[in-house]
Amino acid sequence: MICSLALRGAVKHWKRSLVTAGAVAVSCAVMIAIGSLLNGVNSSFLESVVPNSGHVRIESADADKAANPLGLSTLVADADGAVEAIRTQGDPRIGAVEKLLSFGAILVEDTSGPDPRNLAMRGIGVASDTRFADNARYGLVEGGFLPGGEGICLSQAAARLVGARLGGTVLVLVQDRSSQPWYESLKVTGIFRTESRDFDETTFYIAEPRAAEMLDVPGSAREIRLLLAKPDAAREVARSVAASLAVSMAGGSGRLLVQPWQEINASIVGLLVFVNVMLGIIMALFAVVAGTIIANSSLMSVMERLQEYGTMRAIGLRARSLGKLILLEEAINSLVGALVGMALGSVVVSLLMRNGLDLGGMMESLGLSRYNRPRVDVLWYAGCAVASVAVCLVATGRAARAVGSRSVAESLVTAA
Amino acid sequence: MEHRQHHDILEVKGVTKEYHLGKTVIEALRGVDLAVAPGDFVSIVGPSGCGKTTLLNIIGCIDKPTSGAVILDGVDVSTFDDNREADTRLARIGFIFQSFNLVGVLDVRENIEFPLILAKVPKAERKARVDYLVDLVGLADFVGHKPDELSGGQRQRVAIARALVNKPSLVIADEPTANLDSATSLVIMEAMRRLNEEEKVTFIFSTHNELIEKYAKRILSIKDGRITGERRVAAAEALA
Repeated sequence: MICSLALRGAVKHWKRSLVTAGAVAVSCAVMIAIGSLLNGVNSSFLESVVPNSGHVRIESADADKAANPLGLSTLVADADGAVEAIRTQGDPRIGAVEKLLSFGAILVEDTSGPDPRNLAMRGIGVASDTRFADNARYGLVEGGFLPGGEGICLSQAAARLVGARLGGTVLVLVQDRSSQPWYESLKVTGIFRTESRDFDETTFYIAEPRAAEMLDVPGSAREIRLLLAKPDAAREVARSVAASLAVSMAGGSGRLLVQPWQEINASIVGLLVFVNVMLGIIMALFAVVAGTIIANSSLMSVMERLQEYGTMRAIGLRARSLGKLILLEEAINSLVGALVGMALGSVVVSLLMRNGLDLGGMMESLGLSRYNRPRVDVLWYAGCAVASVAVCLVATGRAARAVGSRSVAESLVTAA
Repeated sequence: MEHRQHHDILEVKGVTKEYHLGKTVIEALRGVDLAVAPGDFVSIVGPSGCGKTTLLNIIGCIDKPTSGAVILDGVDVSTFDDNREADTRLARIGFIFQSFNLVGVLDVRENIEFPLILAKVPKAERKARVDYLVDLVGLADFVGHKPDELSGGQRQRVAIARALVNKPSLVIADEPTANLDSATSLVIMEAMRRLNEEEKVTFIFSTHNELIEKYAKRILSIKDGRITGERRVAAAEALA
């Protein structure tokens, strides 16, 4: 009977029900949309940026202090030895170990004309079967990614700027270890496109052995990256690798810095924490606003229906049961609102997934995609719905207490 | 709590009621004594603000006296907590209000059945009791109607049926005809009197309508919170 009364009350007083359901729906939808966006940013970071930068990175301890971050004076001199030492260590947590050699270069149009086009870029020497360089490997629009370790893989934008095309050649001009200029004509074997224009216009890939040969730094690398089976173990693995290298590389050329991904991406982690907190605050504000609207709406609703409630109590309904009736009615409204909110949130999320949300160039500079796409998490949807209903019930509790605390006579007199 | 063997269904002993409006104390009842026997049909009359409604509220356990005792079926109900008051209202008291006070979302049958559901009466028994009462108040053709589809008189008859459905010891009616026209008022009073005579239902009702008060067997006059007079109404006078 109480359920039936609550349901009929919600239908009869549909305007009030609409206010409650609307407030719940909006707050639920906002929480779903913001939460999914946050989930998208976090996932993008954890699944793209973190593995792409390596869960653990080893580089020269002097790399940070170098005036030219692409200079050859701050390489890991005996990178091959370090890689061998790590592999010998046989740590089962380490999935892959790989050398990367980044360097400064000028890409020059391979033409016999008088004024060849050129572009100052950053070359990255990687293994042809690299586990990194995801954005280029997955963004290939023509050719392959350094097939057989041959050629050069550059972006569509760079190819356009230097007049290169797939199968054609381009000149790569570098300065080797002894500051002598060196150039090679490389065949364009792959063309990629990423979401970052900056990246596309500044980065190309060649095979790591070819890069070492051109730069005359055999066995060296800019950095060594480790991929782990469980990224959470990065700090422990970094400590273990550092200890191992300190022994095996003692007396070697230069100190090494071993960092877990949390330290490598400290600025992004900090920014993400900030973004998470800010969006969390926005979600909380929405919940508070929705709660206030619902609380006031409920209070007005019960005050308008004081005679009805007073009559029920006069007939013999206990105050506690009346409170349950009021809460049940609002629970029905909030459930409807939560369902509508989930549907609304899904529409917003699917629109954002299709188009992405442009978060500006700052995200690119951090290695994240400029266009954030939300990530759907069913648990989060359910959590938002439950939270919205809970906010509604807490807000309605005030109204229920207000009615319950009045005497029956007061309720009837007030109504009269 | 006091249990006694007693003939009266209701005893009101030295009941006072004070309301505090800021620093002003309003004495709504100033020591009311009253006894009602089973099957009585009592009218409480007096001008507006004399304390009629306050007295009925206290008798009906929907308000508490400042002092004094209200003994219903031999039990002092004035000391009950909220839950026991609610249980007492459900089991022993029926209410008929001036403005009918039906539950708008329930139809006639459901309004009458509502107290039975609260009292956890089995479904078959509920149906039988409601069927009997809708016949008794002449609303058998309107059981599926909502209150806003009924006339004032019909609504008040629903309220009467609802008040009687749990077979209460006492039915309290606060100005039951105040919102009705003269002809409908007489129909309602006739219905109440018939229930009193045929079903032996004990009624206490308030009114300031002289024509209505004569339906009672006893008329209590109240003024400034005190009962100032009582007279019995002869059957001939009531029917005149």
